[in-house]
Amino acid sequence: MTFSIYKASEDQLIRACIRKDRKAQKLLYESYAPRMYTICCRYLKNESEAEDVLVISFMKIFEKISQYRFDGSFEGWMKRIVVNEALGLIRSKRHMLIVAESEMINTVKESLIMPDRLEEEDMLQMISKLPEGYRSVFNMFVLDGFSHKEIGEALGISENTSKSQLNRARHYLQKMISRSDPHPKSISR
Amino acid sequence: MKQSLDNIFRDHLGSYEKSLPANAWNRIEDNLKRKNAVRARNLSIAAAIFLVASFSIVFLSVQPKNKTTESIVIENKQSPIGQVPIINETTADPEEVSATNPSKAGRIMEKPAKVNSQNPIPVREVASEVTPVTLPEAPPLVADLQLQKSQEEEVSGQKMRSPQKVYFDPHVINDKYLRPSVNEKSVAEQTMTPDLKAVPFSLGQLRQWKNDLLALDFKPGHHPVKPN
Repeated sequence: MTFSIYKASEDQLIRACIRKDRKAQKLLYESYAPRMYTICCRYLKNESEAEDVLVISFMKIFEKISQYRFDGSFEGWMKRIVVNEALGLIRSKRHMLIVAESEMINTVKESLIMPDRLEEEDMLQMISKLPEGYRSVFNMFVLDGFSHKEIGEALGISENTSKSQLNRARHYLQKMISRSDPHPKSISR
Repeated sequence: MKQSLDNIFRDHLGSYEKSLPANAWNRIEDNLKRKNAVRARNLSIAAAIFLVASFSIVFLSVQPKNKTTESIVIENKQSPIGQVPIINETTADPEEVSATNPSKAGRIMEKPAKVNSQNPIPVREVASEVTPVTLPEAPPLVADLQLQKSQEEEVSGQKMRSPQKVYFDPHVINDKYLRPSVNEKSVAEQTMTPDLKAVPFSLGQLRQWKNDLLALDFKPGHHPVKPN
């Protein structure tokens, strides 16, 4: 029941945004912008760059909102736009350091450290410290639900490269977590 | 192990909302306003171009039609029914022609053609005078018969074709509209306004009286001439 009411209000909001109602646009921004800004911060190290991407993304969302067909998740549709904009900025500004490796990296055999006391900001900090290629692949696969095929198409790399980048990113993060936690709670596997 | 690490990050950051920068919405709003202004300007320019183009198309399409109708009317006026006038283009000066026959001159003056002396345009050999050529008789059409009938009626004065000429009789108009009625006459008599036409004296006498009045000459024995 609550879901249907929420959905109806979201549809009304989208329709008002299609009519270019400024109040509706502001309401849409206020309800979705914090999550979109988090995505921007995950992909980009610099906060000013993240803000730029947020502004450009919302401009594009308001411009293309009439193309939304009301058949899928609206948040997912917005997220795709934001991720594409972020990747576009990364591509335009820097050369992505993607290390292509033919063989798969061995899985981490070390004991896994569970980051119980880690806060969200710390996690964002860790992700931002990852090299550009690792960060993009990790964000896309783990947090935004892209497949390796989609990642490969978006970044212009092969699926195997995407997989290896992901393993390296995990390894990197694991090391950072172990360093940050003075009293680790280890789980042997 | 992989899954647990992924899940930890997903659980923590999946629904995490970072505080927004303060002026992000202002920037978006400014950009939207600017875009709307540009769109409105482009639309107005496009509308203006469309209006100008449509008016010019309408104007150009209407103008030649008027010209053709005018020329048709002129041709109809000039050529009587059943006769085609042939104009000799090699005749002498239009002044000469106008002196002898003004009706011919009017027709020839309508076509002032400049003949190049070096490369003269070949002139058709036609009759030296304007001679009406009677066309071979064709079986009369219904329209022709109606036209002839109407011409006859026009000649006899029974029926008038368009453009209709309306004749007014001045006496009738005076009686009907201009001359005062009996009541008006009585009013006029009451006001004692003199009827200038009915006054038997001349304009010179009136002028004399006026001069006398202006001179204020009231000497005995000197009075203006009274009208009879």
